[in-house]
Amino acid sequence: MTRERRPVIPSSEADCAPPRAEKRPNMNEGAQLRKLLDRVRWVAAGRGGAAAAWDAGVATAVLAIIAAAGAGWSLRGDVAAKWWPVASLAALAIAGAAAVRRVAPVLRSRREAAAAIARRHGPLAVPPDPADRSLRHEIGGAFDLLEGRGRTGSSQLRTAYIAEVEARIETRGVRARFALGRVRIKKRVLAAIAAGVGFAAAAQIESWREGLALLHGGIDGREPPPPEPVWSALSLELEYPEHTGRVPRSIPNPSGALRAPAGTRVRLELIPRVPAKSGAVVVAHDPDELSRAPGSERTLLAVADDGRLHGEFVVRGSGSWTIVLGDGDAHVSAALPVELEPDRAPEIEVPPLSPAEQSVRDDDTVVIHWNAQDDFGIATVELVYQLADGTTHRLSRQTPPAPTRSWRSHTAWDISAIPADARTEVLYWLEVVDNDPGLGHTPLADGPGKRTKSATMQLQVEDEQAEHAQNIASLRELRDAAVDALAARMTSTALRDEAVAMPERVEGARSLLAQVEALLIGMAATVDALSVDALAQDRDAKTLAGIHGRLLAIHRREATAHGTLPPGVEFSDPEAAGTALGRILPIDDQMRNALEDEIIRLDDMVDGMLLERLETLVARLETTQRKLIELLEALQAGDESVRGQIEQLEQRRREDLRRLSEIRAQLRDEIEQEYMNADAFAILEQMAADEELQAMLDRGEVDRALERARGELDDVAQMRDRVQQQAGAGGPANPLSEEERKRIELLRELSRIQDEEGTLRNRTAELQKKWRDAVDEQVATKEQAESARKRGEALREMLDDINDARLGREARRGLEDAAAALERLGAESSSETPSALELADAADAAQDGIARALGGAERREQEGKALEKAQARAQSLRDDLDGNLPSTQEVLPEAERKEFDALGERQQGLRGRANELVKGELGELLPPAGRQGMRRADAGMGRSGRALDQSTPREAIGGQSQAWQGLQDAIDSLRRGPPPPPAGATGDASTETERDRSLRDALLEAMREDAPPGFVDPVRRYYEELLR
Amino acid sequence: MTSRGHFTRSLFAAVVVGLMALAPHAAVRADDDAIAAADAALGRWDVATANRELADADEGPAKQVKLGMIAIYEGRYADAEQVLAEAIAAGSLDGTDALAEEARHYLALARGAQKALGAAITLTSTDGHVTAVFADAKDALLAPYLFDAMAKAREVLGVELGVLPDHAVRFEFLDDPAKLAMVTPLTVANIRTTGTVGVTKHRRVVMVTPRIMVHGYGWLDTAVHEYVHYLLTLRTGNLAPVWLQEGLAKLYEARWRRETPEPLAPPVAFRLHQAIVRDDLVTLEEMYPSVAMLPSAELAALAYAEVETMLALLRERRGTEGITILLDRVLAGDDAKTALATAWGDDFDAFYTEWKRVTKTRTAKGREGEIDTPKFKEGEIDPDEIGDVFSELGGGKARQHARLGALLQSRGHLEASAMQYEKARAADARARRDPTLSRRLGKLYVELERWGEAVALLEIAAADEPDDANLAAAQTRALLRAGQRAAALEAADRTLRNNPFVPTIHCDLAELATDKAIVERERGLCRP
Repeated sequence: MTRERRPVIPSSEADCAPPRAEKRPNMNEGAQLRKLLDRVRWVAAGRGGAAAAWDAGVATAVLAIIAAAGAGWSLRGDVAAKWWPVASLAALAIAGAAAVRRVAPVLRSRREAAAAIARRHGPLAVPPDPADRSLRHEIGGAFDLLEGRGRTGSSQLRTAYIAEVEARIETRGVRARFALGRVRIKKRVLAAIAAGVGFAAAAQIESWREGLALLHGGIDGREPPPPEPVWSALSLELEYPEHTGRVPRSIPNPSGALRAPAGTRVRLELIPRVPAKSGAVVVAHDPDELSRAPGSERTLLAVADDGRLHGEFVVRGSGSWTIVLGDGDAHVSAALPVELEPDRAPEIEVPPLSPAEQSVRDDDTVVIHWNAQDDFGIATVELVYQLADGTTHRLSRQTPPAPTRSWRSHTAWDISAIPADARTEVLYWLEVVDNDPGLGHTPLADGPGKRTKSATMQLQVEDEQAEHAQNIASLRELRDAAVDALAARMTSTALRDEAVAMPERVEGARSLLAQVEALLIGMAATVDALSVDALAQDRDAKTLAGIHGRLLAIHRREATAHGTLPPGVEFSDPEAAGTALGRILPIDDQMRNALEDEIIRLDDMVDGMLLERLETLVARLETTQRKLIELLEALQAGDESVRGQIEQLEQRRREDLRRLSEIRAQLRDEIEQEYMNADAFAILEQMAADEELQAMLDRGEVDRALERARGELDDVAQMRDRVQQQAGAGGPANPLSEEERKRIELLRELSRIQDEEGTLRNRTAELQKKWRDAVDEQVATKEQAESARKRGEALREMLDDINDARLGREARRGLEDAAAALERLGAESSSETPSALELADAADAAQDGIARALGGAERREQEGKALEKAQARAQSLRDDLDGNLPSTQEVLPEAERKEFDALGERQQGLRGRANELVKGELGELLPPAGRQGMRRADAGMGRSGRALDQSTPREAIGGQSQAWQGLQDAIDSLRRGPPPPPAGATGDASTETERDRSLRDALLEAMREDAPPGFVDPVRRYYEELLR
Repeated sequence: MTSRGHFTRSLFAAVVVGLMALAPHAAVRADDDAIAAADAALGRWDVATANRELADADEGPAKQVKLGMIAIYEGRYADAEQVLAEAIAAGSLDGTDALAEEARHYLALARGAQKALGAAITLTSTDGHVTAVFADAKDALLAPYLFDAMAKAREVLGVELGVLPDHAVRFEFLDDPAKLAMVTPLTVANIRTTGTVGVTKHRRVVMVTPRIMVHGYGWLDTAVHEYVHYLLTLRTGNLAPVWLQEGLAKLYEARWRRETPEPLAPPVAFRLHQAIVRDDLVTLEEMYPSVAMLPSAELAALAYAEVETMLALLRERRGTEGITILLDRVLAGDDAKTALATAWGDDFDAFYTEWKRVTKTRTAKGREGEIDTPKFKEGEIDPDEIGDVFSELGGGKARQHARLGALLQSRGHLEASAMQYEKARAADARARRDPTLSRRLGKLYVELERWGEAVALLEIAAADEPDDANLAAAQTRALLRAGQRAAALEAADRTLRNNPFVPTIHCDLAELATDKAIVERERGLCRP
């Protein structure tokens, strides 16, 4: 409350009459005073407003901190966002009211403003003046006088006084903002700083930051509450399918996932919270593939008189069920999960037979014990066995005496029922079938029941394969031992480092000798084993014996040198020991060089033998696969009786694939190990399991299984081609691709040319046969035979000097073949009546072998040059020996002589067609390897044409074979062409663009249908998006 | 009352009555329009507009279905399921029309997404621009690298393409290729056949984690490739045709880490050159409806190279502005070829002629060879298994010593093995340049801790296979130990881009990183 200010000049002191109004002599009297006071009032108003705004701002910030904290704690950003502005407004109102209350007196009148000036302290202008203090009071006094308050004295004095005060105000330059004194902002600044610090501190707290974000967005951050149940009571009755053997179960007011086996009927009854005239239950199923998702099911609920709703649905798979009540303003329950309680496949354990039991006789009965289990019940168990020819046989089915989930029993297997000659390789397993009737989304194709097989076991057989595999393993061990010996010799300091102590050096040298000795012992044993191995090639044993012999020779020399190094000499006579080691050193070099060569030979032997096994298995696999496709086609046509055979074949195929993968693993050993994501393998295994033919058939996907089997056949055929290509054998063409029009056209044309080339070759071969028959009796003269023998021997020596370790495996095989042919030539030429034809054939085979060897040699190196020379000599020998035989013109009748001309013309025609094809539009589709093949084919055709002109069938056949193979290479290069490009045709393997042809075909088919008017663009974009 | 006043009142009454009579029809039309507008907005992934449009639409199954779709676009699969179930329960979808089909499809998608993601964990980048959802918590390891790459991609591609999403871009990482089939129109067989690893659809990018690929894959470039598709869809209102989408995605997929796109592989450059010379290019029309539908892999590779180099030329000559004009015109509804011509500033033929001239020169040094396409080895035999890893060296001493080296290495005789490899390199100049031999010996030297020798060899190998994560990891180690930290960081980046699950790379990164937080993180991931 403002006190009434006393007049500056008290009435008692004036001793005058009461004040009276006088006419003011000057109209401007006090104007400056009034102006100052008015300005002071404005300043007071401004200050009051600013203070209110400041206080309200600080309060708002503080409230924001509190609100964000509250939102962070309660997650109710929506509530905080609603109340915070209200609170801020309230703060603003309070601050405004306080400010008004503070400044209202000053604003009310000039007198109050003058009184306020008098109450304040501080200078009235800059710089400070001590007289300001009295001036403040004098301003008030002057204003009182001006307003006629207090005693009225002399008007002149009053006027003079006022004028004086105004003059002082003028002189002093009094400022309104100074008149009201300094603004007191310390507390406010402190409050603002405190709010800022509080804000910064709160910002360090994550929950507060989240609260601020919630406040800012006005978001309710709580987990959305589950929709209020649309029912006040719900009960489910589960009626389980009969095969489960379960009694019906009632579940009142269920919560969580509903878990039930397929086929369970769920009856529901509910009392709605809000009366409903209608309702439905929607069951949505989980898709395995979006494109083949099972449709959702909608079942109407019946409304009873008492307002209850009833309905039911059958569990067919995992998914969710939702209840919707009412029509317009629908009430929807949360989606409640349904989990399919899996009816697992049955299991059967079969303990393996003891080794003694695995050997069986004709009249034996083998008792196979087993233990079968299933989660709902076992239907049958049967024993299945498979013979080496792929046929599968089943013993009669055994059924449990009563419904059971676990059954431990045995099967007696009378071996005499198996034909004796088929018992060499008998595989057997047991199959258990459960009682699942297949009530899920995908009915069991081979139902009722799911079938599980036990592990496949083998009855003890005379297994040449096992013996052969053991020999290969021995060879691998030998190779590894040789590698160890080489490593030891490469890194040993025994013979070279004189800084090492003599005893240590001698010990090392002896160790090197012993290592090779052990290797040679093992090698000798393996030579014996290979000699009696029926599946090994004769030359394998010979090659190993050769390796053994060469290493043994060096080893003997080394052992002899070690003879000068008796035990203890390293201690008794280190100098003599050093001398002895010096003598061993050059032999060590020889041994090391020899090991470097022999290891390569051993390695090639191992790989070669593995490849042969691989080839056999792949051929068998292909046969199985073809048979499988035939059966699948029959199944597709509706013949259900073949299912059993398909299973049997699939079993056989799996067994072969297992062996194949073993061999591949052995071959792959040399590939370095790198970090691989282990989780990927789990996925790959799962994928492989999913892709099993039987799994597809179980799912009823016969078409897909067939498609898969055809694809696999193509894979197997390609695998076979590659293996044969690597193993040096050719193979027939694969089925043509159906997909790419141009490729098909090109493939067909290539295939036609190849067929015609084949026909040409067959006809030429017939002519050659006739010629051979005609000259078969021709005996070479003694001179001819002798010359051939000498030249053959010389050639053989040349070949022996070639280091075959520096050739590829195929080249070495060629070299070996050439050597064998020259051996034949030598034998034939030394016989009593040497056959001129045999001599020529042997020379031809030698020439062919050398040519193959040259293909795998480095021509710049010594071996390549030697082989080139040998090839020239072999060719010359063959030409000479061919020349000793009568020509076709001399021995064949006229009609056949003329046929050479006709064949020659056909050959030229084919060559022309092939050239046109390569140069034409289609030829551009040939990949580089295909073009190379066509160049080889062209050269072969040219060679054949020239030979046919000269009526020399052997040379013509050579050219034709070369042409045929070239064409085959071109066809293979097309067939091996990569699939349609992924988005990463240039390294991008990422997008949905990577589609296979089936999708493409389906889309193209769909696009053929005209879109309705106005929808052309959306439809186009839809397809584009699908394929993006 | 004047006759004029009477006339006016009568006219007013007639208009009112007429409007009242038309009102229900107008309301129906307005409702249809709102649904159609929402549908169109969803087509261009404009969820906010779709929501606004739907707010005006009457309640009904059509609205429900669209709301369900919006929930899917926002990644709220459970909500989508509920809304769509309600739409289906209403019973007014007769089961045969497009709306019913749509409802069923999206309901299955909602179920599929929930099943595929399971108890997924969701992480959001600190800048809030990327949300990564991982079906398996193990894959959360990818998050920081993804966020870094996407931050860079957002920065550069926002400028290049002129669009920045106003929402967090959602990446979903699935841990099984089969799960892709649950959330895309692809079947499991499609995915297995083609090796699909990423799909951009319904305003989200779905990818397969590199963890389940044996050697990983270029997942970060794939993520950016998909992100470009995402941006282009937003930028053009989903009007860009496939050739433009793929061309720009290829052009920009590596932009986040390098200024210019990766150069064309020599065999691709060779084919492009040949096609220009012979005037046998794949036309843009032939690329419709998909590059993947071209009859051969070679033609598809050619098509990709064409569109990538075309757009690269436009950008090179007309700058980002050229790309902006192109996209603006496409958005405005121009045909993409016309839009390209407008951006170029001449007619399309002039652009095409210039592109052929320039590209012919630039691709003149291409080399003939097989196009590098992903090969699926299932059922096939790797030639390496049948021959040996050095088959390409032909016969001769080099191959012999290289083979001996491999055999010695397989038996653990590392020093001896290195000696044989060196003999092989000494024997033949070709062997000295051979990437396989260099890789083997380089890695062997890393094992033997002969860092300096390893660096030179691994450089030869890496030039041949820059995206091989194992090789890049070995290179990182060798370079780090040899003191070449900058080069080591580059190699580490290559490893991370392809397979961040290689454990040793994190140990090296912990040493290479300077940021304390990164050092801590990498140290935690290090499995020496």
